[in-house]
Amino acid sequence: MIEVQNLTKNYGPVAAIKNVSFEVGKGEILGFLGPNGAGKTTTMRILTGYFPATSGSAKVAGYDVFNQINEVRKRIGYLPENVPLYTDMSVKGYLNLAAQMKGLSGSAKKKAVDRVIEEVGLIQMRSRLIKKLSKGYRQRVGLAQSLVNNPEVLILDEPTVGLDPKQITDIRSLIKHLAGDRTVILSTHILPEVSMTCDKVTIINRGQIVVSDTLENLTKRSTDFSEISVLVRDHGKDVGSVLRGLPGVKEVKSVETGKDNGTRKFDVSLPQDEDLRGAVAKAITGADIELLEMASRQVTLEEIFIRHITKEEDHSPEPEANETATANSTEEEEASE
Amino acid sequence: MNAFFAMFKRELAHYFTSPIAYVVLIIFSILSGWFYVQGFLLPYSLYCQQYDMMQMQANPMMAQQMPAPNFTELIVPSLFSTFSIILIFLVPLLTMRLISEEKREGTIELLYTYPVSDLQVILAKYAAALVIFLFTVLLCAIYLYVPELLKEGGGVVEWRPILSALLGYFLLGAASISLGLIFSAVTENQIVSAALTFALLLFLWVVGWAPQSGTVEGVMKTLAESVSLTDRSEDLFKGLIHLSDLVFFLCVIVGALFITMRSLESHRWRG
Repeated sequence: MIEVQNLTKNYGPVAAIKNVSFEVGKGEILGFLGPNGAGKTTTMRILTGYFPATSGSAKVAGYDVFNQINEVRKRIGYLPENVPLYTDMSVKGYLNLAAQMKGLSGSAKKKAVDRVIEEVGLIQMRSRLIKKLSKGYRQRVGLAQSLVNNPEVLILDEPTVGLDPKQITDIRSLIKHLAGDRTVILSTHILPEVSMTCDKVTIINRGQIVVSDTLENLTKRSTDFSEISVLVRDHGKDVGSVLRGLPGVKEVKSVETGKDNGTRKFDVSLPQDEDLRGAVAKAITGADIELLEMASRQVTLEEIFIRHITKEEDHSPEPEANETATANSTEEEEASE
Repeated sequence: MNAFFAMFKRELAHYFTSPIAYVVLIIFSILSGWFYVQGFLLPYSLYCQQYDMMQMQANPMMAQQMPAPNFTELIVPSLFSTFSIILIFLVPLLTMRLISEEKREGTIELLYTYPVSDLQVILAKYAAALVIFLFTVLLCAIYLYVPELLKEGGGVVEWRPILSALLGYFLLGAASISLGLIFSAVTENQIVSAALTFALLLFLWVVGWAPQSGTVEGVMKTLAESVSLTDRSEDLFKGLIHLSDLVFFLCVIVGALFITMRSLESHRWRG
């Protein structure tokens, strides 16, 4: 549905994105993840035809974003990051305008507006002025606006930024519900958002794709049982030597819990090829020690993210200060648009 | 066309909800009404009375020095010159937010990604501003009908030269608004947009004084004569329709809309 190949966009001498390539299939939700100023908005703006790329090609819904941009525009719904709305208009008035701007008229327009008002849950608010709405409802109006032409592709730029926790949950489930068989690209720098709503993740940093895979693969790849942590109440027993005495245990580290309530925590390294978690548990209880918690260290998306991004930075030949300056100026460029 | 009308309707509604339209129209009514009644209508009726008295005293010498009172000739051209100065102050109010507000609020980002052309958006905004301006043209037409009501039997007002004057006034306003549109497209700050529009319109008014003062010669003189917007409409106010004046105003409008369009497009390559 969306094919992006070697997309590059320069703001003067600064490259906002470099050789970005990815693909999103029909009905998939892609999480576009990256720190602020990484090039998420730039990529999305190219896909929506806001501005063209310096080089590379992109296809949305089978149409080229450079040569057939009007065909693309008819088939996408876009919600920019700051949710720009005509706040002096009523919800219904604004959605009517959006529908007409997208080429709908007459009864088709009326139907479409009624449909999106219901879909995003704005029935109570339909005749309110947008400026009187809370941020959460404005976000819904923004979503409704993007949906009014029943687009095949939805492009949402940080759709939950600036909302309170309840609104965030609401908007996320709304997006999931709205997705249906639409293709969705959703940018964010909030990691749980991706694990909750997306099928695929593309991590972008400093304008380059760092990793692009399904969420499942990404987390599986970096999870194993070789690192576990145990929490015990020891009653003066030497838990360390019990653990070290187990065959196969490579290393035992005592971890400072910071709480003086008779509990102690250990990080235990086990061999990669063998699941020894059961043996560890048996050994501890066998030695008459209370086992309170045992957990394999699941690698979270946060860690994958940090790992990929810091790996990038280690390999970077340029001095750090310069890099930050570049990143900042890219951000400013984006802001000034 | 659908998108054009949708945008046009929104802009027009915004003029009244904001409420720039009321501000502009009330200011125009008060100022133009004052100038018209106090500066033109009352002096004219005074003049008519004096003229009649002179005629009755049958003093042929004096009567010859006083031209016969003719409303169209004596009042209309200078009345419209006055109105066009009020326009210099009011047009920036009409045009300042048209595009700059979209830029500041970011709503222009959505316009850029909707399946509509920049031209449609610009024309819709221009048309909305023109409609508000047309209310002032209508008011002028009403003013000029008043003497017809005041005098028994009518026949004071000659409609053809007055239509020409109204056309001149309309073209002057339409050109001014198109120039204002350029400045609302180049900045996201409404005050800057209004200030630049005001400065340009003021300049295009005062530049017309230069040739009369005799301080400029040759090419500069021709240039000063030809670019002054207000001077261009003087002949139309008198009831003289030159093709060159019509073409001039048309060129200003088309040129200004073209520049506005290019300016909107520039975000695509400026980065």
